[in-house]
Amino acid sequence: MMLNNPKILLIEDDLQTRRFLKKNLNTRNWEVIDADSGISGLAMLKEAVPDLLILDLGLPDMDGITIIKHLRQFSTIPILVLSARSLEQTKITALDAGADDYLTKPFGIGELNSRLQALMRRINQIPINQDVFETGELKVDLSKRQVFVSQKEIKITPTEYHILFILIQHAGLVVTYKYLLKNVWGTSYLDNQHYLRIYMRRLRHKIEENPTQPRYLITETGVGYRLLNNAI
Amino acid sequence: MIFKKNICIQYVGGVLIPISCTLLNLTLEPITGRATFLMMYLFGVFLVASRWGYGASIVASLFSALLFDFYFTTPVFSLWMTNVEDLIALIIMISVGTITSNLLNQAKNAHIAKAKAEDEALRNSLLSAISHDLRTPLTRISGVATTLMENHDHIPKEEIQEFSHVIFDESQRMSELMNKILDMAKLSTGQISIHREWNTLEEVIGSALKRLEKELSTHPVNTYLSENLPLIWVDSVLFEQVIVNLIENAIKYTPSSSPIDIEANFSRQYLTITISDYGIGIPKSLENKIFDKFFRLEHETEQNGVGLGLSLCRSIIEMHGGIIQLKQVPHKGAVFVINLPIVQPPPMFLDESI
Repeated sequence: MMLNNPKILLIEDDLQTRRFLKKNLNTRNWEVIDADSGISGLAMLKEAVPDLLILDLGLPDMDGITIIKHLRQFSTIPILVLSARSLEQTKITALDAGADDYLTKPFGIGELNSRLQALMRRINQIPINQDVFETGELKVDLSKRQVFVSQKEIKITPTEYHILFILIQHAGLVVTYKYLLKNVWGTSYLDNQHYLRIYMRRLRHKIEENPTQPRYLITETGVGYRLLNNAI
Repeated sequence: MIFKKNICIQYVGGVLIPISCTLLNLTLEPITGRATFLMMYLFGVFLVASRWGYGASIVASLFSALLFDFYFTTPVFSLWMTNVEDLIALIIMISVGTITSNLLNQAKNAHIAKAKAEDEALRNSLLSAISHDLRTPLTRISGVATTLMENHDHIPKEEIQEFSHVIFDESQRMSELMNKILDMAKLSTGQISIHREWNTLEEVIGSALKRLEKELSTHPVNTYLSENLPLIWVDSVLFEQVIVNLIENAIKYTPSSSPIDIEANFSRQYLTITISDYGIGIPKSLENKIFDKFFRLEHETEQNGVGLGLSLCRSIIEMHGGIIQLKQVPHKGAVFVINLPIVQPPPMFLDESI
């Protein structure tokens, strides 16, 4: 664990949103510094060296995607993007440019907090050191490549395991279709989204109690999948 | 510039068509007579009138008269006319040509005016619906906020909690409403480009149910999806919205703890999705009306939304080449049936057994 509270840089142009986010995040033990524009935000990134960035995509002075691209040239800190609904393409572009996750406005503070925690977990722990992934009734033994649901071992194909493994590496965070297709099947399969859909259906049938009301493997419509790591 | 160019094309058309008619007439001359020549020219005039409008058709009409006079009246190859019958025929032709072009023109204008009026009516009802439906939650929010601001010292803790919930719920409602209005606006102006991808119905239904998790805490959902449903070729975001709207409707019009059924099966050509509730249902007489924009049942209050949900559903399903209908089923409430044409997915080369 870190000694100090993790420091978040919040780049958001709306004053009220900034105030309410700051206040709520402070009570949840995050230290928050904020910037109201892209330019001042980029300057603060270099000076204050935050652990995490929350970036509103709709800034007046700079395009959010430009900020992400620029930032990625010198920093690897996790980026959480705030965006409007029905802008799936923008979300995908932001994720491709190097953002780690997104949250659709309007959102609850609880949702924001769990995303931030997922991002922090990812930078704080090295996945290889972790032998067992556990959430709800699902248990995956990463060293033996075994999957258990309610303590019963589930037969799983190598491809299915590969998909699940990538999602575990990003537990709690969104993983785009493109990323999964590229890493499981290879770059020449980027247009073959139906492969992924069919494998996901199979995986859900094996892991989920009710595949149409999944607890673990959540669809982020138009963007990708998310493996919930705090399933109850 | 473009406008001028169009006009130019219109008048060139008005000249070219009568010339073509003349050429045709000349070829047919050995086997036909004056009546056919005149009909041919009239046909040309109608063609011009329907394609390029009034002005061009007048040009075509006069030009036809000249050509007829020149080639087909005695003396031939002169504008001079010796035969009274030819003159009468010519006058009739010009009159019929102008009158019918005029009629066509009027009909066209009336059509445009009607479309404009419909557009206008739609815009008005949209504006009033938006202002009304946005104002209601806004009134509640500002009312509750004022109470909190002015009496914050003596409000019991539970009430603060309750007030905060009102603010949150109302703002969520506004946000949902905004989404619907924006979707509708984009759909009706043709701004939405549909972004089709292969998906499984299970996944779309799953994410719709996830989105409605909170609202569904009071209504159990039963899903009956037949095995091996074919892949669907849809815009996932829009299609999910259809499912969300239909489930939302079921939640709205049924008492709490009343179940909602989602079924899906398929035939050779169609995938059929049925969403039904066990409420009072919708009378058959309203079968078509409920899909109209801004249609609301008479007893509905502002709680029930703008009446855009079902009309959005219909627009989206039709964009996918499918149909959505209301069905009357004994012992059930509102039953909505979607029929979606099945599209053959690209081949898959699976390297492992299931």
